[in-house]
Amino acid sequence: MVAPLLLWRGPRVWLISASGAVTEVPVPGGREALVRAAADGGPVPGSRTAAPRGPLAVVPGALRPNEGAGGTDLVRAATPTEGRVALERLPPLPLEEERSFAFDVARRALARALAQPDERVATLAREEERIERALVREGNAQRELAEGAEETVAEYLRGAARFLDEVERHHAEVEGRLARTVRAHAPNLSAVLGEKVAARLIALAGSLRALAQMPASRLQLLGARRRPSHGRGPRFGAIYRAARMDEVPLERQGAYARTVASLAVIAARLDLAGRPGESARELLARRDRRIRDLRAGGGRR
Amino acid sequence: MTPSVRHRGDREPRLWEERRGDRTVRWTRTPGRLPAVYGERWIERGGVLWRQWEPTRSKLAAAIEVGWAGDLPTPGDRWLYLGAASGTTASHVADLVGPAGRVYAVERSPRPFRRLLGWAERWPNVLPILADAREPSRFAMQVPMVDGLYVDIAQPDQVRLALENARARLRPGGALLLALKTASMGREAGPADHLAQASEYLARWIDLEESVRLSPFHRGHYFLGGRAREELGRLPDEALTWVPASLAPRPPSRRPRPAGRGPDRRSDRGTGRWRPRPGRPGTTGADRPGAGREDRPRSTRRAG
Repeated sequence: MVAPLLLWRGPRVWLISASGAVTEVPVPGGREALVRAAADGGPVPGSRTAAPRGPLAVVPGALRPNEGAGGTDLVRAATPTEGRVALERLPPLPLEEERSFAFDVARRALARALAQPDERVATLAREEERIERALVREGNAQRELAEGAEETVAEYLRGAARFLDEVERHHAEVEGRLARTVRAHAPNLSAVLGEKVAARLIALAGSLRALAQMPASRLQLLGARRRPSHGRGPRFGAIYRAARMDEVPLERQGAYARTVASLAVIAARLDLAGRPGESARELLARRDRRIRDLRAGGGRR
Repeated sequence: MTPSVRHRGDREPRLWEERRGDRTVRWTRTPGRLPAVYGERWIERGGVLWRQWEPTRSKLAAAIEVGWAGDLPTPGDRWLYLGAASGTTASHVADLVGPAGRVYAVERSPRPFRRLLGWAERWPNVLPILADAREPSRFAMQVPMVDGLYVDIAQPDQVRLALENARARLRPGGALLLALKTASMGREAGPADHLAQASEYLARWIDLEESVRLSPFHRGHYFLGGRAREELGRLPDEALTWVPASLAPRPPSRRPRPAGRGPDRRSDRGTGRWRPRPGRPGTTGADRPGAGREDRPRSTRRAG
């Protein structure tokens, strides 16, 4: 090793001088600042670079080694090969120190990742779907019990009905929250499909970007239980619950699903480009014209 | 009939293999706090907890089951685990390396990572890292030199990513284990071709063991790996632009496109095949033969 190197390892930053001496370098903001930099991929405290880059990730700049070994001008981050060699020279990092640093970074990075709009929509969409399914299941079970109920069962049913009401209220609240979130994140998509379906599609695709990069035919089948096969495959996935699907005659719903899927992909691309919700006006006009045609028995090309 | 019991690992046994009729049941020794990580069975023998390790759930267990003869995590090792997901296999690797070892579990996706974080708090030797294996510099500050690298990332360029991470952190003589998902490497070539390509590429820097096929436990998967040679640390950047042949751009058509025609719609739409993401060093493949010609027509038989 010739020139001095800076190495960042867990909660500490080290300077390896040209003579091979290893000294710890104080970092402005200390451990907290390093946790932030590691979790957010943000700038290393004291450095002028934008992001921690390079194999060992600390780049010179305003970082001042406490000893003059070579001076800041000569201090630089390591190449991969140098990094391997240099890592072996550092004093061992105690497990507890390393572990607590790793967990602090992980928790911060996780909170950050889960706060992304895509993740918020997906979380709420899955929760909403789960509650909806539970409501249907519990409702069916109660109806079955209610037939020919004698007094003890009837008393139980009254309590159960109150419980179901509570869950329904909770469900409505989650639905409202979901609608607000998805309208803010994907206004065009939710205008074309309705908020709930838009949210479910984002959750199924993983992100709005993944959805926007999809062909319409794939979007149409997202959430379908069966796979497309050589015989008659499925025509719908989550899109079956799209806005205005119920206004289309039963035998033409597949045609509507095709149309609305292709419009939805365009809407998702508008959202990804950050266009405002009014951009979907033309898509909505095409959607409604298609519904008119299908209801009139036309629309066959 | 008493089961025949075999222990692996040096000072204290960490993997317990038990013959039951014609099948083997495996258990790993656990730091001792329940509940189990992913709903697996567990038993207590002599005050020690053992968790069952099933080949259908874990590719490493499947590899042992089908006769993987290469290195395994041994007590005291440090392992870098790429693609930990919610930590099914990672928890068993942590069991194998024991309290003196460490497992650096890297996972990119936040949802499974939340589950990983949940149990890792109870495992004193696991360090979870939310990061993308594609960008080793993002977690370089958290990982020291390691004795082993386990790679289970279903990506088209998983072999290249394994090598890039091995260059950064695997010590000479350290073990590289790679669970190869051939279905991720493109449909143009078959599983055996993908394995052959991957082995040929890796064999330049890794002393490979004989690979095993993970069927019937994991469809289309192979397990390969070996020991890092000294020169792996000096691997040039150019060697990291490799992509499997099935994903490399086809050579341009021999017949030049007639002049004076507009852009070809069909080929402009893209081929739908995976390409390395642009913009990062080592992934652009800008110096591959044929680079920059991707949007030429692939076939001479185009609709006129």
